[in-house]
Amino acid sequence: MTLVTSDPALDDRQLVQRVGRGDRAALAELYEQHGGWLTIRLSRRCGDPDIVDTALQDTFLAVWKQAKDYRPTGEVGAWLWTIAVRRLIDQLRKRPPPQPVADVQPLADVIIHEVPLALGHTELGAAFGSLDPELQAVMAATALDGLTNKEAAALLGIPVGTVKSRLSRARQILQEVLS
Amino acid sequence: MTSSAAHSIETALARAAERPRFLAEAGADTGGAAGADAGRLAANFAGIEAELDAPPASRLARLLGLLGVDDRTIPLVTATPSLRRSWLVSIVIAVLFAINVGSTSSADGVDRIVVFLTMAPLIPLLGMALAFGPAVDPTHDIAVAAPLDGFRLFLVRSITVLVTSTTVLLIGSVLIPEGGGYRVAWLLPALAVTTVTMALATRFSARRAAAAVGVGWLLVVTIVAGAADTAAAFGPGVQITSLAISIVGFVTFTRRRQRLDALSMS
Amino acid sequence: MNLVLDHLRLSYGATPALDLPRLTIDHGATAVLGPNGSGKSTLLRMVATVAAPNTGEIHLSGLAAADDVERTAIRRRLGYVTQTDGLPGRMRVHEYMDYVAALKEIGPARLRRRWTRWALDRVDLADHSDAKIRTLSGGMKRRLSIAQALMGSPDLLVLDEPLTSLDAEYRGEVTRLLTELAATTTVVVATHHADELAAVCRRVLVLDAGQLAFDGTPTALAGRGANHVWESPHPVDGAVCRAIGPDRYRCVARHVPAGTPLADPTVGDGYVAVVRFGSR
Repeated sequence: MTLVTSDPALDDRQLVQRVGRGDRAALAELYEQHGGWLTIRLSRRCGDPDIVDTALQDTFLAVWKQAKDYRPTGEVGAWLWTIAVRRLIDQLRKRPPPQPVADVQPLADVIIHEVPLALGHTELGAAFGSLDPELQAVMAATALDGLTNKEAAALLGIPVGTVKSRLSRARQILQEVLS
Repeated sequence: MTSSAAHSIETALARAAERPRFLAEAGADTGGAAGADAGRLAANFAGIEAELDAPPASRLARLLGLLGVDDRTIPLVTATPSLRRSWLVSIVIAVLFAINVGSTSSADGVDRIVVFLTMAPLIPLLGMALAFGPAVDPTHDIAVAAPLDGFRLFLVRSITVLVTSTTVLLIGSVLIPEGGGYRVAWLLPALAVTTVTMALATRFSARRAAAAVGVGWLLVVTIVAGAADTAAAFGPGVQITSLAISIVGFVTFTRRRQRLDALSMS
Repeated sequence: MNLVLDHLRLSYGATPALDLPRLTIDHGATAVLGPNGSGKSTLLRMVATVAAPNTGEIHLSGLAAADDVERTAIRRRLGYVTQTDGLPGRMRVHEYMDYVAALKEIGPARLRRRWTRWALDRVDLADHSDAKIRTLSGGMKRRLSIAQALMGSPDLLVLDEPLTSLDAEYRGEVTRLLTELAATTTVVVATHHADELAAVCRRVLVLDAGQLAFDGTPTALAGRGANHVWESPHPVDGAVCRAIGPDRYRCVARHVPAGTPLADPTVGDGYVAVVRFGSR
């Protein structure tokens, strides 16, 4: 009996190829592999589970249509996430969630659970942590999620101008802190 | 211009974004409140499958969607009993017949199209009679037992009947070679008879209301044409009166909206 | 989910179509048996808020069917299967379900599709969702009628003869489905199938000419047939007999012929005994 080593990254890419050819079982398998973590990351960005559920479903419906055009450049997960976060933003644009509570930081769960994994206990992490919560949020939305200013504005429920001004403020403060 | 400090942070964040699964699973909140339990995941996949397997919507439903009709109203429109193709075909035939009869007579002016003008407001009435009631609507009891406001359903169907009828009639009007402005002199009377039927339907069955109003309209035309002349039966006086009646009829209908729920209960 | 039927009365002219005492129905399945014209459908139509009694009141969880606003609240929690299918032949299955879902104020369209798929799956019609209703068999139409009632997960399900036109296999399936639903829903079902359906209900009401002739458990109803049932190789005059095999008839009568061994009464036998000769 030969030992077959499987490379998860290769498996994922093959799954997407099969989905692109109309294989429903492959879509189910892809969902099985990635549905869970996508839900987790979406839930960190939106507290309304109904919106998250709709965005997750929309993600795989979009994957079904777009799989045939997928060109592998890195993790399949990264491609899935770019679709998922934009489906979430679509939903938020349709039905703006209730006004965030005053003293709760926007994208709090992202800041707490994801940013430290990116920046670690380094000088960069400390500098980021010294920023005001709203400034951290816009930087996380644009840099971590790769969103445009407009998309970040939709995600955070603030005007585009506010995103721009907070970003430049954040950069200014970071320059002062780290030089 | 990005400062180099910010640039380093943003680059680090972007690099981390290349491994989103790790970002999800290494956090402390996984499986907890933000977690995706098996039931929720299964339910969402059922939703995905339901969408992928859903048969395509009918052409009419797609058209209504494009026209901006509210998503909750579209099924109410497409289920309207008188949208039956056979009904549409029969009114097309009736309209063609009426135009033809008018054009072969030896009279002139509005007299030539008087048959068409008299008959036209009866078309939406026929539609109203065929759109409501257990005899023509097998879903009647289910609709009564459902929470949707009886008034809303009635209004949607009435508008559907009116729009379908007037569209066919307008096409017919355009095809009439002569008669000038009189060719559309049926429009306001048609609106008036429809709204009066709607108002009466809050007290009697839609079928009886439509029949009564239809007879009433024929009487009005006969009396006015007899007392004055045909042109008066569709002239400015009648038009203005029709408009006024339409408004009164519609207002009465809306004010008595509660009756529709109770009335549909037998 | 507590349903209170308080002294419901309905008359057409002088003849009373329905004249009931106060009844309280809790969750679980309650069967309503009775011959044609006994008032079964009338009662169910009242419970479904489609008809109103002349006197008497209906309350569901404290909501009054007589009040306009509360009646709408009742209808939000209600699923109704009519005696005749009530299906428009020209529509497709999914279009009809979409329409009923819209009547139940389920929206947006995607959510209606979810419910449609779920309900059709429960009655095993998901493969036919694009079929025109007029192409469906009688049994499939019946299952579709049941599917529409299930959408929205109502707290009260009112079914008028749900097993008619179903073959034995689907009668079993639907009976199982109703038993399952009875665990979480109040189910009121009118039926002729005393032994298949009424027997699995918690409670049975027997109506006769608009009056309540029996109110109790299926076992108690079967008990009313005790000493009145026997088997015979041929039909017997003066008894209600039904064929159960070649040269085998099951007969119910007030007096059993002397010397004949008695048969164990079923719910159906008890029902016949109550209705035919008011067995106590």
